[in-house]
Amino acid sequence: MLCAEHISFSYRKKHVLRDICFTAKEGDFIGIIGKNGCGKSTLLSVLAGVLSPGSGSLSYHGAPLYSRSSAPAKTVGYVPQLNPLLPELTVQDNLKLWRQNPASLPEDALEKLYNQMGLTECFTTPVRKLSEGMKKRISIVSVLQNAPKILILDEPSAALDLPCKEIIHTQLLSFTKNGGIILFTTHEEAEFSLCTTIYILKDGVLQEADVRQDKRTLIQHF
Amino acid sequence: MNVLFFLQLKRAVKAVPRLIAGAAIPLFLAGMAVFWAQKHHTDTTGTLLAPVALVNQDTEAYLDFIFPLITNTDAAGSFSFLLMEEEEAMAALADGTVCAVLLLPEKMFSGILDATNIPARLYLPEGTSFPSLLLAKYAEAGALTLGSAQAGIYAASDLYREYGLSGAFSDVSAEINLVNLQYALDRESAFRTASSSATGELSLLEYYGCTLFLCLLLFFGAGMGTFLCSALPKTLSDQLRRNGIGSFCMEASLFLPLVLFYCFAVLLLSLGGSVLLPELTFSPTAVLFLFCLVLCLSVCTQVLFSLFRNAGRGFLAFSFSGLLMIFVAGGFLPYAFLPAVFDSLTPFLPLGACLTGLRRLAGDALTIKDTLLVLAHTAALLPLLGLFSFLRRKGGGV
Repeated sequence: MLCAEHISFSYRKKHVLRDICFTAKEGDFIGIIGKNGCGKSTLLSVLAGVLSPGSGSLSYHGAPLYSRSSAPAKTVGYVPQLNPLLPELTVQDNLKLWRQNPASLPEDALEKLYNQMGLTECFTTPVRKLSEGMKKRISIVSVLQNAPKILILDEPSAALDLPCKEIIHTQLLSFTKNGGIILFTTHEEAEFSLCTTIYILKDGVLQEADVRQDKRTLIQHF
Repeated sequence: MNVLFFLQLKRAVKAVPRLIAGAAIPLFLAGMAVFWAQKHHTDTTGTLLAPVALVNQDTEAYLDFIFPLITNTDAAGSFSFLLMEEEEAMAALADGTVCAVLLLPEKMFSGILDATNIPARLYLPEGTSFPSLLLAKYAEAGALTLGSAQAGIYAASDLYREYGLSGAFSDVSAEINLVNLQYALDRESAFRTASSSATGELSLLEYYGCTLFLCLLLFFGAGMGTFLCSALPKTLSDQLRRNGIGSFCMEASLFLPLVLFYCFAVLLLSLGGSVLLPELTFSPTAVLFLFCLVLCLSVCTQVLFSLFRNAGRGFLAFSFSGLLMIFVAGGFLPYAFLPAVFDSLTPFLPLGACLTGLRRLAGDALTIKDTLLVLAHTAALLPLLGLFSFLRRKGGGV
C-alpha cells in the first residue's frame, strides 16, 4: 500500500502542490490528468523522490518510502518525460547503466522482458539512431528490469504510434497484474480505460474523478 | 558505479572522431594566425637604412677594393653608402638627405701602412640623430681596429728589418698590406656578435611548437562538448541520483575519461614534439608538469561546459577563452609586440601558466614552481566545478 499524506510543494514562492493525499494498493493503475503546467510532472517528481516535498510524507506499507539509507530506485521505478538515455551508447549499454547489481530479475526473465518490448533486435544499435517510440520502450524497460514495486511514468505514450502504445500498454497492464502499482500522467483519452483510478490535478489540488464519468466530462480537465 | 565509469569512457572514445573533425576548422584558423604572427615576427620593413655619403679622395686603385669592403660588412648593414663628390656630399648633409659624410682623404690608405696616419673625417650634422651617432661609434671602433692592424704591420716590418730582410719586405709589402688591410677592415672583430629574438632563448620552432601543442589540446578538448553536455541533462542526473549515484560521482565519471583523453593526446603530441625537436628531454619534472597540465585542462573544460550546459555554447566559450588566454600569454605574438600588462597577467590565467611551463620545458628550464602554478590553477577551478554541479542539480525548473 502506497500512502501519500498532505504533500505540498512550492517553487519560487509559487504553491505548485497543495495538501496532496491519496492511497494506492497493489494492482492499482492510477492516471493523473490535468492541464499543461498544472504540476503533474512536479507531483510525479516528488513521488519518485527526485524532488523533496515542502511538507507531507510518503510511505509504502507503513515505512517511509524514501530514507537516507536506501536509493529510491529500489522500490520505485521512474520514467521521466525526457528519456534519460546516453545517445552515443547502444541499447545494451544503456540498459546495463540502469540495471541494479545484483540483478533483480533472473536472466531468463530479463530476456523475456527485452523480447516482449522488442529490444533484442536493436541491442547493439546506438540509441541516437532509434525512433522516439523505441527510446521510450528502452526507458520503461530500464526501470522494469529492476523489478520495482511502484512504477511512475510521466506521459509514457506521448507522440508514439499506435503499435508502440499497444506494446507499452500490454507491458504496463502485466506489471499491475503481477501486483505492481502504476502512477502515470497522460493526455491520451484512450488510456483512461487502463486506469483503475483517475485523479485530476487542478490549482495544485488533487481530486479523484469518477471513472464512470463519460470521457467528454474528463477531457475538459486537460 | 564501475559501470558508469566504463560507459562514460566508452562514450569518450566514441567521441574522438567528432573531436578531430570539430578541431579541424579552428585549428586551421589558429594555423593561419600563427603563420601571420611568424610573418610579422620576421618582417624587415623596420630595418634602419640610413644614407651616408662616402667621399673618396684617395688613390683610385684602392677604391674598387675598399668600397665594397666597407659597405658589405655586417656592422655597416644599417647604412647605405653613396659614393659622392665632396661638394655634393656636403650639400646633401646640409639638406638632410644623408645622415653623415665620411671623407677618406688623399693618401689615407698608404698612410696607414707608412705610419703617416692621415685620419678619415666624419662629418655629422648638428643636433645629431641616432643613425649619425651610431655611425660615429662604428667609425671609432673601426679606427681602433685599424690601429691594431697597423701595429701588426709595423711589427712585421720591424721583424724583417731585424733579420736584415728590409729589401725583401718591400717586395712582398703590397701583398702583406692587402692581407692586413683585409683583416683590419673586418669590423666584426670590433663588435661582439649577439643575437636577440622576441622568442627569447627558444627557437621559432620551439616557441610556436608550444603554442601549437596547447592549441591542439584546446581544440580537441573543445570537441569534448558533446561528450560532456549530453551527459548533463537534468533527467539523466536525476535518475542517476535516484540510483544512488551522487553529484561527485557523476562529475568524476565525466572528469576521469576527460583526463584519460587529455593524457592520450599529450602523449601523442609529446611524441610528435620529440620527433621535431630531438633535443627535447622528458625528465620526471617534465612528466609531472604535463600531468598537471592535463588536470588543469580537464578542469577548465568541465567548468566551462558545466557553466554553459550546451555543447555549442560551451565549444565557443571554451575555444575563444582558450585562444584569448594563449594570445595574452604571447602564444601568437611574442610579448615584444604586446602591451606590457599581458606579461604580468599571464601567470593568473590557467592556460597562460600552462603555456609558460611548456616554453620552459622546451627551453630545458622547467622548475617545480611552474608545475605548482598550474596545479594551483587546477585547485582554484575545482570549487567552481562543484558550484556549477550544485546549480545544475538545483536548476532545470519543475
